[in-house]
Amino acid sequence: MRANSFSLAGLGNLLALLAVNASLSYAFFDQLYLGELPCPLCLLQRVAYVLIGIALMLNIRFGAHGAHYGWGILGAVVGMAVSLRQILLHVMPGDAGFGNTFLELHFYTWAFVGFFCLIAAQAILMMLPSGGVRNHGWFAKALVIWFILLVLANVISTLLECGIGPCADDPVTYDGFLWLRQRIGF
Amino acid sequence: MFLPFLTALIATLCVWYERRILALSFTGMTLILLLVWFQFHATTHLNISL
Repeated sequence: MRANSFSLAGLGNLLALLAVNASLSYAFFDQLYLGELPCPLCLLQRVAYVLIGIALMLNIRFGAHGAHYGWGILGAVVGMAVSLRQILLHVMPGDAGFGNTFLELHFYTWAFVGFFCLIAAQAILMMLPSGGVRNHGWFAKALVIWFILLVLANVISTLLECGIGPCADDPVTYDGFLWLRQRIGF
Repeated sequence: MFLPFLTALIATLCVWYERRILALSFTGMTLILLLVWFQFHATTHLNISL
């Protein structure tokens, strides 16, 4: 199959990676601009989104393959479990929930909806003809580079927030950064 | 908690440099680390058992 030829599955993979990138970018907007540090379960949901992104990136770089979709669906299933757990932690009447809301729903509720939609999307993409998914065009490359930069930013941000151990339940400061500053003395 | 992000970053770099099997291996490691952290957080950190 010629690279960059149009296919519905190829377009679907690009749009799904765009959705993953947009979700992770909005999480950073909330963290950096609105000053809300991600909780441990929030970080685990980010990891699950990253897993789905890697699966889509594998499809875009190497062509569609069942093993790629498989990892993406597994990541989404674990992400659903994590976000559902966080929903249940705050499901009691009177509980204000954790963190900001977006369109009247908390981020972990949106994450659950997102994981559900991405599982359905990957199932549909698997049913489409797999030709033409491999794409080395400029738009695909831009999406992939954007995704890699987001993963790199998450590594740095998590190190600064939590250090090398577990994160605080309700983080308010960059503990890892403070620890590093004490150690180095700047 | 940064470790799953680090293995994921290595996986993405492997994909970029066309090392498919290595990328799939690091993707698997990322999923295992995610499960370990979820289990740790659910059973120890919040003292709630799954």
